[in-house]
Amino acid sequence: MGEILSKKTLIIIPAYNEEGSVARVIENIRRHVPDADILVVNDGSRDRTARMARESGAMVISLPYNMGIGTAVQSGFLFAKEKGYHFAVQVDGDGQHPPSEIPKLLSALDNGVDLAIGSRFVQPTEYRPTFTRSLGIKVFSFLVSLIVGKKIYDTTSGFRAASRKAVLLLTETYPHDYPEVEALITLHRNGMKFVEIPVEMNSRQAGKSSIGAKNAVYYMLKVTLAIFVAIIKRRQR
Amino acid sequence: MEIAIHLRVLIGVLCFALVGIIIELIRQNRLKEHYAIIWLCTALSIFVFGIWPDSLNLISRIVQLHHLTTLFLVSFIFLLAIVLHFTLVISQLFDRNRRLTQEVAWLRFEMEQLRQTGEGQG
Repeated sequence: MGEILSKKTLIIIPAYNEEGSVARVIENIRRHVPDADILVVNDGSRDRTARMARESGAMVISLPYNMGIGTAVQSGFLFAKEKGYHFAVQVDGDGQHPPSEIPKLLSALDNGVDLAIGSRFVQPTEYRPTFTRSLGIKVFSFLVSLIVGKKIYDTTSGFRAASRKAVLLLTETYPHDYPEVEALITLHRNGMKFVEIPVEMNSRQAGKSSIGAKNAVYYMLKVTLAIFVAIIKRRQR
Repeated sequence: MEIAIHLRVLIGVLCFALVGIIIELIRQNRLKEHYAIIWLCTALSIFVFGIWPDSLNLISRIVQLHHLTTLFLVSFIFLLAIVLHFTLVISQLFDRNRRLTQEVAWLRFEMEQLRQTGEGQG
């Protein structure tokens, strides 16, 4: 653990209209990983997200208008790249990712993996997705596992920690919407190793899922297509 | 294939009108020259079919279709190519827009940092 503390870690919180929860998320993170820097990427929020974050002592960068989760997270990666952070951890601004589990993800990185996924499904947890969502999750898990060559259960989890090597790659290429699954394939194709760490997730404190029922079909199609595109895409370097 | 003279005149007028509109749009800075090329080519090909309808017959014989069907096929392929071209342009613009928003966010952050340290010293 001592080694982790000597390394610079950036916690990236992509936030779109999360004024109700972002302050608490920041507070929680500070309690569990006091040495990490916290960056809120305000993705064109129309509420007081940026102010709440700043008042809670986080660094804030603001995109001029809403660009979607992928662009927001990538902005965080660019920040980590420029400022020389060793690790970057993505934590949602709605409070469903438990900061108490961040040290687990970081120690996985310390053991040499490039991406540690905070996973809801490796061990039975209290998280209960709806039927359609559960089906989508299974399909992605099946496809990704097939390509990667080892079982990955939670491909859509946005609770992740990335090594500097992975961050550098993802600053070059990162999907703008529903990026989680595709990013795994990109990382795999570029020879990066990832591992799933079982975590217990909370239900949201505020806000709502970025995937409404209306978008579910688009989500399935887009990500499935993206998986196949990612396979045939040329390597970054 | 014989095309009635008034139809040829109509096609001719259409082409000149199209070219006129394109040139005016470029003049007013509303259309980039780069994209004007594709429209000028469109006008030119309509013009060619208009004054030399046998070119269409030639293509019809090659693909062994009725000349009207050929006309639709040619137009369809052409429009398809234009739409594909525009989609490519939009994709590129999207990527650039994305980088730009990220740069803006980054610069604004740096500026605020500088202002704060400046205030701290002053």
